[in-house]
Amino acid sequence: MIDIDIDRVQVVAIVVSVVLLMVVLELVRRRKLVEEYSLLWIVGSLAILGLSIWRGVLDLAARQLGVFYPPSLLLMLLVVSVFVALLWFSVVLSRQRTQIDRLMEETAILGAEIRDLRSHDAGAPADRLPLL
Amino acid sequence: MASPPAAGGSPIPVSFVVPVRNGERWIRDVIEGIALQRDGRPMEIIVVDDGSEDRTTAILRELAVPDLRVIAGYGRGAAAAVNTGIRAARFPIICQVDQDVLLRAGWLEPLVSALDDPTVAAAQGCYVSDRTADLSARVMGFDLEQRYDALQNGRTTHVCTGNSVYRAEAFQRAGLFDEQLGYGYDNDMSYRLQQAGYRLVFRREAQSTHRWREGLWGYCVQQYGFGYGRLDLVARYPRRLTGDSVSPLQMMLHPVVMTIALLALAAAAVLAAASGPARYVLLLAAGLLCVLFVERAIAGARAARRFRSTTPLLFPLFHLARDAAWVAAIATWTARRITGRGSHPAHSMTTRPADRGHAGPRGSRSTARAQTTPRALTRVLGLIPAHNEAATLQGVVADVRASHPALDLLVIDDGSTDDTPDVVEELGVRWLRLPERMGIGSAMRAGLRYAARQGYHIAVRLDGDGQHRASDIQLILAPILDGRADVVLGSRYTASDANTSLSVRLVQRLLSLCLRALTGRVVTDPTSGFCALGPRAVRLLAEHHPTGYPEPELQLFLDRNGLRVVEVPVLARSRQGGRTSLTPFRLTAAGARVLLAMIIVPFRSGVGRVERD
Repeated sequence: MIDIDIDRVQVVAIVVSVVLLMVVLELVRRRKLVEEYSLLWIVGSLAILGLSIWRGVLDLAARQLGVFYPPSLLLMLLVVSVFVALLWFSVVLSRQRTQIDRLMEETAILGAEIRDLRSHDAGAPADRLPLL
Repeated sequence: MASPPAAGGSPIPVSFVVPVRNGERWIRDVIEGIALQRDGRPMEIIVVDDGSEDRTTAILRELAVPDLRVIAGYGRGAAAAVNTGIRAARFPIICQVDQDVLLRAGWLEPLVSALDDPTVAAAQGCYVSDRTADLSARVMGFDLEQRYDALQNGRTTHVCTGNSVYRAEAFQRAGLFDEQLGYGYDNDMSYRLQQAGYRLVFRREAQSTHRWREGLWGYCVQQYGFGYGRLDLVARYPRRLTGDSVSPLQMMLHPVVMTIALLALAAAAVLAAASGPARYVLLLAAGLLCVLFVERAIAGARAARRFRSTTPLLFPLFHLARDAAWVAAIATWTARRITGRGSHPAHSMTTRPADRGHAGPRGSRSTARAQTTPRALTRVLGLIPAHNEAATLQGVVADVRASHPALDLLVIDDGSTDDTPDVVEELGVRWLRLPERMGIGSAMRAGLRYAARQGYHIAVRLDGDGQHRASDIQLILAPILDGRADVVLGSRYTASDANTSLSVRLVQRLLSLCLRALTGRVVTDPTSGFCALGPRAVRLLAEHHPTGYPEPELQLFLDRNGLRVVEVPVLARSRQGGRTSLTPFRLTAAGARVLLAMIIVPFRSGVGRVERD
């Protein structure tokens, strides 16, 4: 028999993290998630999977860091990773905001240029100097 | 265009266009001369003040002449100023009078009746010398009068500006005056009108007095300008090398002969130094000079008899000086041509040291500047960012049009949700529309980028709520046109404080203190949006205009990137309508942003890519 005793909680944890991983991969496959942003989630779900398989790692780390109650270490890790993810999203948002700004400005300018062209085609010959 | 009136019909209305720059000495007399022409027909007098630095502007304000309109030029020179006036003129006949031309009674009628013939595009009056003027001015006057004498009353091939009447319709066919030419733009116009199939007419009865520059030096400076302009013209129209009816062939030959004579003199000097056969070359030079002298002496003697005055006897002296000035012009012009430098050295309407009462260092400085700065066409675009300003926009645009008819305008509609887009379309100005509200920073970037792509060099920002007075545009443009600044901020020092709340004023005060500490510059009005941007600033801000609530941050940004900022006090009005965006909450938010900017901006590297020019 296998000497690792697998309790029910662990089974649930493993199943959940595998499903999470599958969902992420499926989203990438369907191009709902650009690879660039999927990386964070894949790494995250792999980490959760790893922790649910080797629960001992968590206990070990908690002992080493002087955390009395191992699950609180898990919570802290979670909070930190969520924080990093959010910060990263803000960066992405800012970048997109600049891009959108630029795009809007550009459409406005293009619109005006098209108008100019049209009126130029339709209008009088304005070749020499501005008319009166 | 109105058709010429039948005898006894209603007379054709006329527009007088007078370009002026630093013309304090004569402008009052000029306007009075124009007022003398009143004969019951509708008249308007448009004075284009091309950035005068003397009392001209004040004098014009004092004059109580009906139908007098003063509009601002851009300091781009006489041709541009005349064009500005022509664009603003409403009537089918345009009388162009210069700032030193005094019309005599009865000047208008013969010229306007000359235009009864629809094939005549322009008619020129006759300059009559003022016998009380300074010696060199008298010489100039008699010389011109003598040249006019040779003209038959009727056809001519040249109509000079300043003393002439044009058919507005002709400008539509031939185009306006060429602003690239400092002198000689009137010759250019005459040629173009004739190419367009029009005739030009000279009328001796229409008399006026030209106040020529005084003193021999002023005379030579002016002649240098004439010569230079003539070269530009000949380069453009080689067939006109032989002159026209006002500048006949022998006058065109003079500078050529003079050049040869001076070259011969120089050669003789070199040969003498090298102990070569200098004598014959010297004789040649002396001979040529003698020919010129004798030719002018004869002309002078004839003029002296014709005008019963001894002054024309000085023709040989003055005209040899003139020839020398023309040779200098030829030398400079050729040198510039060869080196490929721009060719706009002199301008007919730049400051005239001799004309000013105090021809001190100031006068000479302006002349020097006029000769060094390239007189390329400077294009200015007025930017009006607007968000839900339907109520006031029309007034703002009308205000600008009234005082700066030649200024191109661009309204940037920042995602308005009211009638602003419809209003803008009806106004007939250029416009950009941002599909969503993006904020003033984005609107400015869009506007500036558009300006840069359309080849504008300078941009002026006016707010759409009408709090900035269009008449101040000239004020905030001046430092940029003079090359003294990259950015000019119009700071409001006004009573509009009265209707801003205490908290707003408090935050503003705080902001200006912080900015002052950071930039080391007095910032009186940190939230002013009224500004003029020079070429460097346009290029830089087209990419990097700060967003959000940008005005205070802009100041830091400009400082960080080494742009020269100048503040000019302007009078602001309270909002003409609509809602202010300056709530205490917004201001506090702005304060927070600025605080952040203060910490961050000094650590940012300059944007730098904009070249220093």
